[in-house]
Amino acid sequence: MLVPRRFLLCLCVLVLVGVPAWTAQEKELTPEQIAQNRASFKVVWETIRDKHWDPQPGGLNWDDIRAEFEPKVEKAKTQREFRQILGAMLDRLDQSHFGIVPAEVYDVIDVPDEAKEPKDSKEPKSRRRRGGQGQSGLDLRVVDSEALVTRVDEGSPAAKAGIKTGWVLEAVDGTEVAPVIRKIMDLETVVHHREFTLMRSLMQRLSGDVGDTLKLRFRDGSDQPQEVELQLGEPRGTMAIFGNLPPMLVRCDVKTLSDRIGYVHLSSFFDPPRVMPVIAQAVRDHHDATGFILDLRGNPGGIGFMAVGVGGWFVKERNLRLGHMVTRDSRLNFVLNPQPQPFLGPLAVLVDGASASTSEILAGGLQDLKRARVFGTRTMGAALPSMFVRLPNGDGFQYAFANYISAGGKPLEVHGVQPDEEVRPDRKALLEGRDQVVDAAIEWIKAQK
Amino acid sequence: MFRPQRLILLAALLALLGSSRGVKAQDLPSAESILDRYVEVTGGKEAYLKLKNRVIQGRMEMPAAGINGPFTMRQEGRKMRMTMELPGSGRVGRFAEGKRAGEVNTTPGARLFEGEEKTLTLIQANIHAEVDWRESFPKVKCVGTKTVNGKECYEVEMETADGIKMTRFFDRKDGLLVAERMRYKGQMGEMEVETLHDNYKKFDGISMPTVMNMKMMGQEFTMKIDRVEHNVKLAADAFDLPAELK
Repeated sequence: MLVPRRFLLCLCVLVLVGVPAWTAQEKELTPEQIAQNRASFKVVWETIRDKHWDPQPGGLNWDDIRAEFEPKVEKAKTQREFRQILGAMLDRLDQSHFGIVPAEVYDVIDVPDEAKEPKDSKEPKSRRRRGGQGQSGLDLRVVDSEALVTRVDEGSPAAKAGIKTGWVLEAVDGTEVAPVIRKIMDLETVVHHREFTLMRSLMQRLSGDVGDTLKLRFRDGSDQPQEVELQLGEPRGTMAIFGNLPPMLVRCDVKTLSDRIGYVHLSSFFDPPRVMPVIAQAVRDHHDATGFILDLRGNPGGIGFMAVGVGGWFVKERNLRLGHMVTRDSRLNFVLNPQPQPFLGPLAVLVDGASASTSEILAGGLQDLKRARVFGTRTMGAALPSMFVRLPNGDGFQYAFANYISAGGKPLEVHGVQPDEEVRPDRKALLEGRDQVVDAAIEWIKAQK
Repeated sequence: MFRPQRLILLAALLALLGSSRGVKAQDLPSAESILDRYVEVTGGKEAYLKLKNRVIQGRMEMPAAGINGPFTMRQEGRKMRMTMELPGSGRVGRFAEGKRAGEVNTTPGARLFEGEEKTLTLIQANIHAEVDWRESFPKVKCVGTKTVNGKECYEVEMETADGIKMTRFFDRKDGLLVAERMRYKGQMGEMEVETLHDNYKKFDGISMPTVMNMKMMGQEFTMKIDRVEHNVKLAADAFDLPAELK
């Protein structure tokens, strides 16, 4: 499983915003919880000691790390404190794909909200329910410190409300967005994670249950304020569940662009039983297309081997490798299996700073193999194969067990995928209804004729 | 020596292998006698040769990751078809029919096996693989004894005609296969593959392990067999290669 920690954390935040303070995170730990946390710390520490691909994880003396953090665990008074200590220990690795998923995330998923809400909750409904499945149909990116609408789904609540690409989101339910952006930009020290964190933070504010109403204030194309009341709609796509990973909503949109160019946008690499046939059909339907665009912008990753499956539809040579992952005692190649009647014409892959993990493996590998030209902005640089396990205290624990090296010989972790053509969203173009990244890919495909 | 798990995950378990025990080389039985004994203690050649086909149903579990799903495996002569469903991941299908073997997997796609993967799959597809060990492994040697999973075992090195090596550990007392270890080389690369075999049960006169705990790339898997049927009526096309592999 390849989902970067940043995404995991945002997901947790997203879900936990819907679980107010009564979740008992602040309650003093019981003796039973202390014992469970002690056992959980042991599992986390030993897992990294035994399964990290580097016998000296992160270049650290892992015994020293235990000596430093174990006494802190013993002193933790609340669940939040305990998780902060574990988080601080994992931060020492300075690597993606290590994180803790609070048990409440699983509880929220497993139990209907109504069953968990205390009768005396004073939280407004919209605030309590943040993190639900309701969707606005908007996609946002921060450009020049402003929250730009970069996509409005056809027929979505946002489209029905008249919201246009290029508008600037200024406030949600009366809360100004600009200070949030400033705060993240100040706090987020890892520059290549910034775009991802900003995007997720904004999208979180637009989340809620189906039927929830959001009051949004935008600045339109004429820089005039526009107040919009938007009711969240049914989610598009399907909810994918895989092992201990929290459920993920997956969308795979297929269309034909001008000049007979096939286009697939994949929101995450999950639900292969549903997604892989859709991609196969998209390739068959565009077998004679002049080009093909794989849009992985905002895609945080998922099941790593889906990169192999998707890539197999765009090559004819056997035994091509996107890259390989390295564990302590093995090396596993990500080998492409050419599928029947693959698309062999010009292939463009679109990425941005919110494309991570499996997206990077696919984009970086196809780029290294010179099979695709990559457009957009540099990816997140978080591409470590990982596992999710449940800890004795009920929390989830994500750990990377391998490093990943792309076909070109470089690790993707931290470095990410550098596009062949760097194209950033631009407000003027968006207001004109254009997607500059798609436009650049189309121009390149047309030039290949 | 039925090992459906290898057809699925090619995983195994070394962690429980103990230290070498001092038995002099001249005191060791021959590998041939150990392998023949295994056939005898699990039912005997005659019982094996009565088997024309086999259907196995069970589950693959990866408890730490919360992943599990059912599998079904059919064998007839030297043909095999195995399917496994993993919720959220899709279907894995493995096939062998005489000279060809391959996989159709929802996630990475379809492919025909080559090299070591092909050789081992074809060996394991043979419903009489236990009896036909001389054909599959022309070179065998008992190299010592070891404590494996708490049992005193003979350590038998085996090699196929094309040089694929593996080591099997047989219980000195009851002759049953306890563990298997090999460095597997496939399309995806090389990895240590180790399996512990346990909980032998008898089906139509043949004993086979119904729990196999495996370890691969630091991850642990368990295969559990729930049901085994022999000499059942199978559809005429039960072993046809899927269209993706033709």
